[in-house]
Amino acid sequence: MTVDEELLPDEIALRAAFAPVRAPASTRRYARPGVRLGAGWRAGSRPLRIALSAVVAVAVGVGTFAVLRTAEMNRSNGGRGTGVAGASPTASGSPLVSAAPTPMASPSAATLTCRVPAVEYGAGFESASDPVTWVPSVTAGFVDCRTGAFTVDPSAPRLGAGDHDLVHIPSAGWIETTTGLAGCYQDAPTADCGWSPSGQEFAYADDTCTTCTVAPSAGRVHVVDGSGDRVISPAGEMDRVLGWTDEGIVVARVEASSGETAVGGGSGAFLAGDFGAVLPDYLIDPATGQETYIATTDALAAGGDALWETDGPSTLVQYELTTGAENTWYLPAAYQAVSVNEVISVVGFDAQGDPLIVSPSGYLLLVTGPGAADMLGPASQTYQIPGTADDPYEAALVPGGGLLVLELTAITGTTETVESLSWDPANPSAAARDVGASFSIPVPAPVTPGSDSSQLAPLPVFAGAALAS
Amino acid sequence: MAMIGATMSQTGGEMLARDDTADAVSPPIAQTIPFDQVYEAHADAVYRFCLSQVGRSSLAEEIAADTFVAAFAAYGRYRPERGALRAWLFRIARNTAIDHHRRTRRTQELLARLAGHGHETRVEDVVELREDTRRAAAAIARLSRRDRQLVGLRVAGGLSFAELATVMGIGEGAARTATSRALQRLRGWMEE
Repeated sequence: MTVDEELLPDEIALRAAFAPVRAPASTRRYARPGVRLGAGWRAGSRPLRIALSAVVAVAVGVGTFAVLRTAEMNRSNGGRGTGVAGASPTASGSPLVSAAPTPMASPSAATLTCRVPAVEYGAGFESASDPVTWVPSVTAGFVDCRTGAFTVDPSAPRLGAGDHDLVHIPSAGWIETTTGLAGCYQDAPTADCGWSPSGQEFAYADDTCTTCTVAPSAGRVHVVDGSGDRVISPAGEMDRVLGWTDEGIVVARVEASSGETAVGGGSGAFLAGDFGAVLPDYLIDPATGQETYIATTDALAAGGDALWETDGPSTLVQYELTTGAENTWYLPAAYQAVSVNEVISVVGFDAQGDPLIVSPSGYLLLVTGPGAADMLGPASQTYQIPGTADDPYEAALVPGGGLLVLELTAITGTTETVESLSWDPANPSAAARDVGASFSIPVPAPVTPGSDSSQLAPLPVFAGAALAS
Repeated sequence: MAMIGATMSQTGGEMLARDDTADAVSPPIAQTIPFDQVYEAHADAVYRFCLSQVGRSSLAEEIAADTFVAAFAAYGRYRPERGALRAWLFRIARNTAIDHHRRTRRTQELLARLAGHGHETRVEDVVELREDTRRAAAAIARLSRRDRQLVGLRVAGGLSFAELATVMGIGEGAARTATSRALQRLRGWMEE
């Protein structure tokens, strides 16, 4: 700028604050021979390394029930599965350590019981007829909301060779998918897959599978309902499911023109390919497969009639599904955070489509508009892991009955303690109720790729909307 | 020959690069001005802008370094008639910061779901900054993405409103108005 240009009233102090700052010599990296843009962090960056190791090695539960895909690790080690053939579905195999029953804490606790469909991934085994083909071990059952106990459902189908999974459709029971579910969590309203508003259909994007009995695939959108699993997206597209709304299924698309090599669908597309880039989002009609472009965003969740992007620790950006119009919503000042290294996490939506979020400061909030939010859960002070600020909440849908919210309240070196709350999306002004349940689960020890993962107990992951009973 | 100079501003004692390269005649400018001179003239301002966008010195270093790598690679194709050099450079910086922010955030979001990790704060990045710089960066971080860019380009990058308008792709009047509003919002937060 020229020295004569008039400064705005609020500029002087801010300019003075930045004036002493000088560029470090390291910013002259362009002068090094052979240097490439982004080479400093894209190829060997810590986040990517953590991401990849997280996928193959560690699954410390975000609020519990994280997937520990020991089977996949065995496959990556040459298919030397160590699991027991058939993975006998016995309750004794439950990895959950049920704490002593907690006394009913409130009258509401006595009235709410529910169970959440869950699957437990074992090591799998080689097919007897075809040693090259891997057979997964997916044990299906239910987790009791109040005790955390996992009970195997003996009626669930046993999977054959190939990469399959199980999803629980409330009206039809367990349905076998045609491919694995990549990295998606089936329970949450904002996971890498999505439940239809009715809770009777499920959408996911498949993963690349070189050992599948079906043709290898990558990022095709599937719909699972009572009649089975069908592909609805056009061939050659690589999508990630952001959610399923009244308007349709919302996906983010990894485009071949991005210049990156996307080697996997679903979450894998982001981890190995166009990692973290801004992507075009589309609305897909689940009945016809018809696509409508929405906007190009880096949104991670879809709910109500909008896509939601989190912009730093205090801002949500809403993109209207029908118009792509962009609106910025600040959190109320009381819940804003100042760290640029933390982000809002969207965990669900109420019946009006308003986002249920966890703020970086740890509050569970229903954001009802720009600068407006209802606080449903206070910031926890007990969940902190040194060096991190982990999300203390996880949620699962309860059809017709609200949202089961699991609050991570304490972590020791070996266990995570979880409290259950319930919240009714149709009555968003009501505070989350304490279900009165408290249980602990073991924290798996970190493993490194290539190590013997068979020593780790598998943890169940929610595999459908919770069932009120 | 075009010149890239530096003029001591009357405000805050900061060094503001004065860019005369828009007046340069005939491309390619890379044949007349070594990139080292471009770096020397603009490195501090670009780094300050990056710091205003991410609030962490290590990240700001990374983004500033990537900015100059990208600019170095594209320098031979730069044409003055398409905009002043400083605006061109800050457009690269802005895009690099956005890209970095998005990648980092998506990484964090995914990691939070996958493994409960990812929200990591590097305290050492904060404490090495002066208190007033840290407070300013923290307050700017509360702004929306667009406002953060406007304020960062203006107060940390030292751009004129004309340059800011070029970088942001908006009119000069709109740039002035939007920046003024963002600064008013910022003042309220800094007085808390």
